[in-house]
Amino acid sequence: MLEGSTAIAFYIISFVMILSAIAVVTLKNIFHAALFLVLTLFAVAALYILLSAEFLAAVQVLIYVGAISILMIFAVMLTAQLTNYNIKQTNEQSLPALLISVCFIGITIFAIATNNKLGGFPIKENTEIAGSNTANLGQLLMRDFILPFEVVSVLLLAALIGAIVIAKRDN
Amino acid sequence: MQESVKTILENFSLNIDLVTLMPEIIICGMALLTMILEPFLKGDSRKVVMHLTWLSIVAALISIYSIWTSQPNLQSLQFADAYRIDSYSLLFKAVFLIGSLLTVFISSNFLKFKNVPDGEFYSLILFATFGMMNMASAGDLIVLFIGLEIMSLCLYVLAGILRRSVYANEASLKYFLMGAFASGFLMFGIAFIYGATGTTSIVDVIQSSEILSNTYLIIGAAMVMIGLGFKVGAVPFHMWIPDVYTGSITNVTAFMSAGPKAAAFAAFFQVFIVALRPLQSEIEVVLWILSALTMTLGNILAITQNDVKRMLAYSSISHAGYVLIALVAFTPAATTAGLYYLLCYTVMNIGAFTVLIMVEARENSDTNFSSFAGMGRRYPFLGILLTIFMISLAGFPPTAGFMGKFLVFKSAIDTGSTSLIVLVVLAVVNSLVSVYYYLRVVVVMFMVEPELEYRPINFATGIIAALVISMGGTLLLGIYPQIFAFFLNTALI
Amino acid sequence: MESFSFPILTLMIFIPIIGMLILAFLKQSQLQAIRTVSAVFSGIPLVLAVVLLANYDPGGGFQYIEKVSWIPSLNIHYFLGADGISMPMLVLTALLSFISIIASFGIVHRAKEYFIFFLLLQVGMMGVFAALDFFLFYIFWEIMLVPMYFLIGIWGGPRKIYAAIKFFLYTLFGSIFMLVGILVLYFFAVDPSTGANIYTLDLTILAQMAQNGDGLFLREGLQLMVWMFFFIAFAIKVPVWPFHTWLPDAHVEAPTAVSVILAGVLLKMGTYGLLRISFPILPYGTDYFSNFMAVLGVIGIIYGALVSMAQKDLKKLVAYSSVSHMGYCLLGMSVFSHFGKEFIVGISGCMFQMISHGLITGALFLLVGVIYDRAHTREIAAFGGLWTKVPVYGSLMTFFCMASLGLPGLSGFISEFLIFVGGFARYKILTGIAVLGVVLTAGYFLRMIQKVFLGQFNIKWSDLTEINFREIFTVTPLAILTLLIGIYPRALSYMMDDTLIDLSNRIIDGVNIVKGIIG
Repeated sequence: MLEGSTAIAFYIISFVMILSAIAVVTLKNIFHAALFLVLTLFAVAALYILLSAEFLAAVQVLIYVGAISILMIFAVMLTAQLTNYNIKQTNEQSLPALLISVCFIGITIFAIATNNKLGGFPIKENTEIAGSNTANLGQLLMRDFILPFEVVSVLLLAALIGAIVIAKRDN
Repeated sequence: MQESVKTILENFSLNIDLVTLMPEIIICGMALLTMILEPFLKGDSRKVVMHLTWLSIVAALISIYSIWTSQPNLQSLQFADAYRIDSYSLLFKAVFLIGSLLTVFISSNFLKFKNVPDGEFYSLILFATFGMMNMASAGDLIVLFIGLEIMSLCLYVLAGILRRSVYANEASLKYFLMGAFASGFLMFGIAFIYGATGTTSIVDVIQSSEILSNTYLIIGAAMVMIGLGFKVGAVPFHMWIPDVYTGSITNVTAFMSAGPKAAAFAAFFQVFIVALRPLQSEIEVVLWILSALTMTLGNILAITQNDVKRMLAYSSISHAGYVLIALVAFTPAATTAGLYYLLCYTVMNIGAFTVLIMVEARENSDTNFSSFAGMGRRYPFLGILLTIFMISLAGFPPTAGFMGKFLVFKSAIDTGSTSLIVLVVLAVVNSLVSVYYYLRVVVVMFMVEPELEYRPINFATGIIAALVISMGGTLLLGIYPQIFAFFLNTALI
Repeated sequence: MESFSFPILTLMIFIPIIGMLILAFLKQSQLQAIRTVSAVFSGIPLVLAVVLLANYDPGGGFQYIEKVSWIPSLNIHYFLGADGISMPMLVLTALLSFISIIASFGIVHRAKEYFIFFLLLQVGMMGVFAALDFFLFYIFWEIMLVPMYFLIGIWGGPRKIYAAIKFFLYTLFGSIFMLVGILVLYFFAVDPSTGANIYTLDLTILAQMAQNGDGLFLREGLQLMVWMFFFIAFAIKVPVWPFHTWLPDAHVEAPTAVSVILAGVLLKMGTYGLLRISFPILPYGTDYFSNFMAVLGVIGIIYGALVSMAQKDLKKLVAYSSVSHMGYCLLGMSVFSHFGKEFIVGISGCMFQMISHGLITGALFLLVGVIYDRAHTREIAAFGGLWTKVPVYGSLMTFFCMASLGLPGLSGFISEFLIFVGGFARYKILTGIAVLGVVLTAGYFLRMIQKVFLGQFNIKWSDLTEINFREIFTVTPLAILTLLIGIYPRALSYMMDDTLIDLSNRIIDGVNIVKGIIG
C-alpha cells in the first residue's frame, strides 16, 4: 500500500482531481467548466507520475492538456452564444443517472475490496526488458502491439474524413 | 543501434503472411485510393469511385475464396498473436464484404436522388468494412477495440451524411453519444480483464482457477458484454437502434443492420466463446436473459410501428435476440449456426431495404406503410420479391431465414439443456408474432389500393444487381444449403 | 429404397412451376392464354397421377421412390414416395386442383396473379402428400400457406384480409409446434438396437424404429409431448373442435375455387398428417390419446352439425358441415387397430371419409359458387322454389347433399358406415352420440333443399340462368366418383387395405413393446 510522502501526494492529487471533475459537470459557465477540465487532466498526469509512468504523464499533458483542452476552449470562445450563457448541465434524468452511477461505483469498489483479499492485481512486473519506461513502451509498441499501433492510423484517418464530411460546406 | 534491431528481429518474429492478409490489404488500400482519387474527379467520371469500390470488394471476396481453397484448415496467428486468421474469421469477413457489396450497389442512385455528395461515402464504407474485418480477426482485445472504433466512427458519420435532415443529425449525434458511451464500457471492461489476467490476448484462453474467481474478471466480462450488447442492439441496450435506423439515409440503415451487426457478433463470439470460455456458466445465464428480452421486446415493439423502416429497425433487434441463442448454446455447432444466420440475415435484410429504397426513391415518398399500397399490382415482380424477403425475415421455409433459424434452434436443442429448449420455444413463439408485422407489408402491397396517384418506381442497374444477389442468396441459402457446406462445416473453437 | 427410376413424382409436383413461369410472362389482358396455360399445367399432374394410379401395386409398400441427399450435414433427404394412404390423396389433389382451375375461369380481376398463386398452391399440396422426409414435408406444408393467404386475401369477400390473416396465423401457430416436435424427434430419437442417436427425419426409418422398439425410441413422456405438438399442428388443419374457428371465416371469404381446395385438400392434410406421422412414429402416444381423439371427434360431429343447422348462409352451412364431417374422420381413426392387426375398419372408414368428403364438399362449394355468381347472395331465406327454374342445378345440388348426408349408394354412406362399425366396436356410447350427427346432417341439408329449391317460387329470381356447360363439366367427375365409390367401394379400398394393415401392425407392435417396458 501507499506509504509516507507518496500517500500524502496521492490523496492531495486525488482530492483536487475529484473536486475539479465535479466542478466540470456542475458549473453553469461553460468556459469555467473547460478550465476545470484542464485541471482534472493535469491531476491525472500527476497520478501517472506517482505511478512512475513519466512518459504517459508527458503524453497526457501534451495531448489532453496541450491539444484537446485548448481546442475545446477555442471552440467555446468561438461560439459566441455559449461563452457568457449560464447553462444548466443537468436535466430531469439526473436522479436516475446518479443512482446508476452510484451503483456502478459501488460494484467497482466492491470488486477492488474483495480482490485485495486475493492479493490485488495478479499482474506480474515485467522484468524482462531492462531500461527506461519509455524504451520499454517503444519496444512493446513496435513489437507486440505493432498491429494496433499501425491500425490506429487508419482509425485517425477515418476520423479525419468523417470530420471533413460533417464540416464541409455544401457546394 | 543496428545490433539491437538485429537481435530483436532474431528473437522475435511477427510471422506475417501477406497472402492471408490480402482481403484486408485490398479493402484498406482501396479506401485510401478512393479518398485520394475523389477530389480529382469531376462530373460523370466520379462514377469511377463507385466502380472501384465494388470491384475491390469483389476482389477481396475472391481472395478470401482463394485463401479458403488453397489453405483449407488455415490457423494462422500473425503480428505477435494479435491477429488471427482462420476459416471462421474468413467466413465472417465474407459476410461483411457481401453486406458492403450490396450496400454499394444500392447506394449510387439513391445518393444522387437524395443529393448527397458521394465521394467520401465509399471510402467510409470501405474503412468501416476494414474495421469489421479487424474485429473478426482480432487475436487481441486491443485490436478488437480499434477495429470496432474504426467501424463505429465511420458509421457515426454515415448516419449523419444526409446533413440537411434534422432526423439524420439526430441519428448521428445519438449514435455517436451512445456509441462512445458503449465504447467506454468496452474499454473499461478490457482494462479490468487485463487487470485480472495480465494479458489482453484473446488467443490465450484463461485457465487458472485463481484468476477465474477474480472479481475483476467478472466485472470486466460484464462491461465488455454491455459494450458489445450496445453494438448488436440487445435489450436493454437497444435504445439507439430505432432512432438511428430511422433517421439515417436508408442505404446506410441497410449497411448498419448487416455488416456491423455481424461484426459485433463476431466480437461477441471471440470474447465470450474463446477468451472467456471458462466463465461459461456465468455468461450463459446473463446471455439467456439478454436473448429472451431482446427477441421479445423487439418483436412486440415492431408490431405497433407504422413506418416500414422503423418496423425493420425493431425487427433487427429481435433478430439479434435469435443470434444470441447461438451464444447461449456455447457449442461449436452453435457458432456455425450463428454465422450462417448472420449471412442469411445480411442478404435478406439488405434485400428488403433495397426494395424500401426503390419505394423511397420516388417523388414525395416516405417509408410509411401507405407508400407500399398497390405496389404488388403495379410491379408484381417487385412485390413478390419483397414478399419473399418478408417471409424469409419471418423465418418461413424454404427461405434463408428459415434455414438460419432452423440451424440456430437445432444447435440449441442439441445441447439438451432444458433452459435452452425453453429459450427455443420462446423464440418460436416470437417468430410467430413476427409473422404478423412482416405480413402487414405484404397485405398493404397486394390487398390495399393506393390512396393517391401511383408514383412510378425507377429501376437502376445497381439496384437490380443487388436484388439479384440478395434474392439468389435468400433462396439458395434456404433451399439448398449444401452448396454452403463449407459454412456448415466451419466452427469457432 | 434402392431404385431411382424416372422421377415421375417430382415431375408431377413441380410441373406447375413451369406454368407459373410462363404465366409470369403473359400480359394481364391475355385472359384466354392465361386460362389455357394454367389448365394445361394443372392438367399434366392429373394425367401423371392417373398414370401412377394405374401402375400402383397395392402390396408394394412405398412406390415411385425418389431419394436424393439434400443436406448431407443434417442427414436430410429429398425423399418422395407414395403408398396406399398418399396415392388416393395425390389423385384427389390433382383432380380437385384441375377442377378448381377450370372453375376459376370466371376470375378476371388480376387473373394472372391468381393463377400463379393457384399453381404454387398445387405444388405445395402435392408435395405434402408425396414427401417422406419430415423436413421436406414441413417445407411443403409451409409453402402451401403463402399462396393460400394471397388467394383468400386478394380475391376473397368483404372481410378477406381478416380471414386471410386468421387462417395464416392459426396454421402457422400449429406448424411452429410441429417444428419444435421435428427438432425433438431429430435429437432424441434413438435407434433401439444400438442405443445411439439416429439423427434422421426419414419417415420410413423413424416408423421402422418405432415398430422395433418404441420404448427406447422416444422416452415415454417425451413421446406424449411430441405427439401433442403434432396433434395441435394437424388438428388446426383438420380442423378439430376447438381449433376450428378459422374455418368458417376462411371458407366464407375465400373465392369458390379456393373453398374447394380448402375443403377438399387442405383439411385432409391434417388427418393425413396424423396417419402418416403421428400413427406410425408415435404409436404409444396414439394409443394413449385415442380416447381423447374420439371425444374431440364426436364433439366436432355434433357441434358442427348443430351450428350448421343455425346457418342462414349457404356457404357457411357447407363450411360447418365440414367441421362435422371431419369429426367422423377423427372418430374413425381413433379406433385404429384396437382389436387386432386385421381390424382396420375404423381407419379405413377414415380414409374413405377423407376422399368422399373431398369429392362431395368440393362439389357443394362449386355449386354454391354457381348460384352466388348469378344471384350475388348466398342467403338461404332469399331463395325459394328454384327447382322449376333451374332443374339441372337443383338435381346436382340435391345429389351432393344426399351424398353428404350419407345416402346409401353414394360414397358418404360407405365412409360413415365403416366409421360407425369400427367406432361401435370400441366406443359404444360415443358412437351412439355420433350417429345422432347423421340425423342432424340430414336435418340441415333437407331443410336447405326445401327452402332453396322447393316451396313458393321467389319472383325475384325469374332471370336466373341454368348452370352452364363449364360448371357442369367441373362437377361431373366428382359426381361420377362419388357414385363409383358408393357402389363399388373396392375401387378405393384395394389401394389402401395393404398399407392400412401394415400401419396397424406397426401401431400394435409399437404399443406392445412400450407397454411391455412400462410393465
